[in-house]
Amino acid sequence: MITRPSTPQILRDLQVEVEREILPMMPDPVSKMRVQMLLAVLGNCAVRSAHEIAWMTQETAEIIEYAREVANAVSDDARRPVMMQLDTIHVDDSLHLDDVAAAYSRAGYALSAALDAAMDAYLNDLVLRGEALLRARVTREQEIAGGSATTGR
Amino acid sequence: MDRDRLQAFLDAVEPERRGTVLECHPMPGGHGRNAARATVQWTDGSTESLFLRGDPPEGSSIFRSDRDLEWALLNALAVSPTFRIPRPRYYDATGEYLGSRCIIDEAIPAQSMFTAMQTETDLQAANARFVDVIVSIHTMPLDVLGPDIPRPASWRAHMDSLIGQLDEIQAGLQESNPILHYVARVMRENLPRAVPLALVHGDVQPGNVLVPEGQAPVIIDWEFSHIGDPRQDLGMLAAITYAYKNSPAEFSATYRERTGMADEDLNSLLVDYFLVLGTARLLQHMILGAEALAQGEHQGIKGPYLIKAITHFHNLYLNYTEQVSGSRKATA
Repeated sequence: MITRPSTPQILRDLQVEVEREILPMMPDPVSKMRVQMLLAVLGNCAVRSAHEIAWMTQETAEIIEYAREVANAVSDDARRPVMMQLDTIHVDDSLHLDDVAAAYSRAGYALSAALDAAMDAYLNDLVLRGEALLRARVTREQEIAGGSATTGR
Repeated sequence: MDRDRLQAFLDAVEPERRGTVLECHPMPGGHGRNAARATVQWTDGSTESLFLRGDPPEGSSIFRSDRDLEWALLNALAVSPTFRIPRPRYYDATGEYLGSRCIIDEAIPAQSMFTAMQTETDLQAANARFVDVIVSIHTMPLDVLGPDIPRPASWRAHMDSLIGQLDEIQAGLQESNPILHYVARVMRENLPRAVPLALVHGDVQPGNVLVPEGQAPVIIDWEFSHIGDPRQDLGMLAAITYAYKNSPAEFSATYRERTGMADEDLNSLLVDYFLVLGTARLLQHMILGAEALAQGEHQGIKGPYLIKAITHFHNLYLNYTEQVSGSRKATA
């Protein structure tokens, strides 16, 4: 497999090509605006392609740990829905994007169930920790939306 | 929506006046609508400027709104006693002539309040004028709208339906969204006091207010308008413009003063609450657009482009829940 240039580097190079060579030749403002949007999307994809598997894998592990902690802190009845969601997460060795994304999505359901359980039981510290996990998720989304990631390695 | 199509349409709807379309130019439109500006000369020698807003081709926009309902609403609002809108002129309800369903309004030759604010030295006065515009919408008697405009059964039913949008968004997804799940729960647990239902613009911002020289402001872009909680507009405003962000306390105070609303019914935390509810429908369009894209449906460039707007709203929504958690922490 050819690794140099990387996918983010190729996407960034495409951005430069479109920006320098194609955009100035477009007289129509509506088409120009569409191409500028396309350039922004290329920038987002460059960041995403560099980090998404690592970020999703890391966040999935953090959610599993959190949900287990909530499950251990609540009553048997409250624990059941959290454990049910945890049981659906199959983390294996596959690093294919679809497999990692599927586990990440199931972890999202587990996080919701765990937060519900923590709120029902008025476990404020655990609610705040769950909220902090959501904040970390948004911070990464913002790094992608900003088109440049300076952390995460 | 070109000159020939508009000519054919006017020939059909105004055969007596025999207008000639002098020009018809496409314009970058808001919310994925196709927009154009046209000038027509009638046989009596008069000219008229028109603004055309049509549905984009199927699959090329992620925003959906009901054009028939908008047309009915515009015709009702044209006689509003509290504010002015561009006169609704024509409606191609089937798209037979203009290529897609299209509403044609009078074009107002004026700059927007947003543009005017860029050079305004007294921002406090400019903000107060903008608040007056918002108040003019919210104080319009609802009976002006007539029976064709849907009306919620009650404030509570309306709020349940608004918060329910956050559940609907999740139901339409093939992946989890724990942020929306959590936010919906926090919203339900922090329901505010009821206020009277009012006309909600749905996208009120200085860019959607035209200020013709020496005349009353003209409010445009009513496609997301409905009857609801007036604070939805303030929440939406807080999400998208600096008119609110620059001085939130003063903005809310002016609004309270003009409407008589109590402090406990409108404060910065409640504006953020309604920011979530006021933008939920917009977010729903964006998220479902992204989901459609994931299922292989082309959504135009706005589909992938607006994914970053989803992030923007996730961030704003969490800002609200963190304020609630912060006060919970302080109480504890």
